[in-house]
Amino acid sequence: MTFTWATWLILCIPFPLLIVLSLINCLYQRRKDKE
Amino acid sequence: MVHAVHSKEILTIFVFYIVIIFCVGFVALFKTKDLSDYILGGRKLPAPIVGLGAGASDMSGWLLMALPGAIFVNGANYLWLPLGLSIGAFLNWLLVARRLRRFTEISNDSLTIPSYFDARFQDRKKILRMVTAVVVLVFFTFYASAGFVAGGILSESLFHTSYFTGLCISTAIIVGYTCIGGFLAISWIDFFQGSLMLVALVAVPVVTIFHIGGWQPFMHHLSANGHSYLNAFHGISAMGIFSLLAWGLGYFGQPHILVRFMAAKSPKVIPSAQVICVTWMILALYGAVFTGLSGNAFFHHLEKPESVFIELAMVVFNPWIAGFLIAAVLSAIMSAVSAQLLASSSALTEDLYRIINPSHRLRYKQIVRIARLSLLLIAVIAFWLASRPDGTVLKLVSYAWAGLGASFGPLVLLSIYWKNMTRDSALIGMLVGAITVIVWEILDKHFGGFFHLYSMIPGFFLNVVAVLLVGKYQGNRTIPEIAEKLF
Repeated sequence: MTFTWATWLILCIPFPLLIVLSLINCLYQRRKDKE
Repeated sequence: MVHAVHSKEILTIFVFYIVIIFCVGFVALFKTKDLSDYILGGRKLPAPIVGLGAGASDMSGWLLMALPGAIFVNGANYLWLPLGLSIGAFLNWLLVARRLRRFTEISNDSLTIPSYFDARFQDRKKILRMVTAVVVLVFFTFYASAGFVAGGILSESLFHTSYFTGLCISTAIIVGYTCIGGFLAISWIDFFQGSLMLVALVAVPVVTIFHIGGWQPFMHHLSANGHSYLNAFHGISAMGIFSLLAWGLGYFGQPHILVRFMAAKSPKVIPSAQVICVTWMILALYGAVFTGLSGNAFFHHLEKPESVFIELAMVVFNPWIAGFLIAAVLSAIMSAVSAQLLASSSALTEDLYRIINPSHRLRYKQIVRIARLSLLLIAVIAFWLASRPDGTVLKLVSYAWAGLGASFGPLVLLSIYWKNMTRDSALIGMLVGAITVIVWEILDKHFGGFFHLYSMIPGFFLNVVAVLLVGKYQGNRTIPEIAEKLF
């Protein structure tokens, strides 16, 4: 037995996605600041 | 229960840890030259200190005690709370941090959230500033008292002291180093404490799962609780899910977190700080969730589920390493309470004392002395509240979080995006938010049912509606110099 598929989705998608979005925002802002 | 035989090792590590913290406090004392240094660290903090500091001061003892305990008992359906918090923190960095850093510097170099509102809305009568300071003081005093209680319980369970002795010791340590070093000290220490918390929260569940025999045996042990334990949708209503997710709304209105944005050395460091904070927070939340789950697989039953982190550290680690890991619990409590105490003392000094006594031309040393005395005064009240615990500590944390979030969140957000926002709409919105939370909690206590919905939701949205309605009624009252400078 393991987590249900819905629990896996919550564990694996939104949390890492927030880190990736923060990274993208950081790179975008740095580029904008240089310009 | 924690084995008494380990108390000596843990006590040695704790004393060593506290000595380091006081050394940092004294170094910061010599670097503190004016009130801006004491309250905001002179706005010169680099990205890692801002990012980890915001994370560590936000995540109080509940990250290592309450959240693992709730997951231990309830299983996966409590995942909605870390999810809501992560989304809230992410949006706070994305929407608020950079603008607030810039706006507060342009707006008369505001050092506190009440003084920012004052400058942003050009409030000559200073009513908004004083009302904001009072709301900050009320909710933070309760917030800090909850932290003192957690410190007392920690000392009671680890060293077998009485609750009152533990409370006195933890209060003396926290107040001591916050008073000495001010914002610089707590920022540096939060960086260190945040790192320690992360290491502890990753190490404990990983080693426990290895101890159990790996992933499959870990899952096998968990399934003994029934299939629903591993289902995020089981045993929770839609209202329950919304309530847990709504904790994220609170981020926009927490002055002790917002001041970290204001203290960044430039708006340009905010995106890097965001990456650091969000990554730290998500790893720490994963750690807390898996601490609860691995604790359940390991122990199945605990008398005090909130001590699952401490119990695991004691059982699966060498006592000296366990001492360092458990010092992370103390760190979490200390970093949150010290940030709250400092934000309250800033409100009392900057936004009440100096406004009520405008004719007092005080030198820096006198002002910082008043700030320290204010901090002591708030700590005494919080200590008094903590000395008569009635089992509602976590409820108080949720109450203070909702009160601050619902009172200030919409104001902070709208004030940096809506140039037509007026002082009256801000004042009425804030009062509507605060009163809604207070009334909703009373209704929940007496009637339950629909009022179980977290008070943050009605408080926050009624605040937004009030600001928009009053703003619309008053028409376009843009302050040209503010609009020109800020937008």
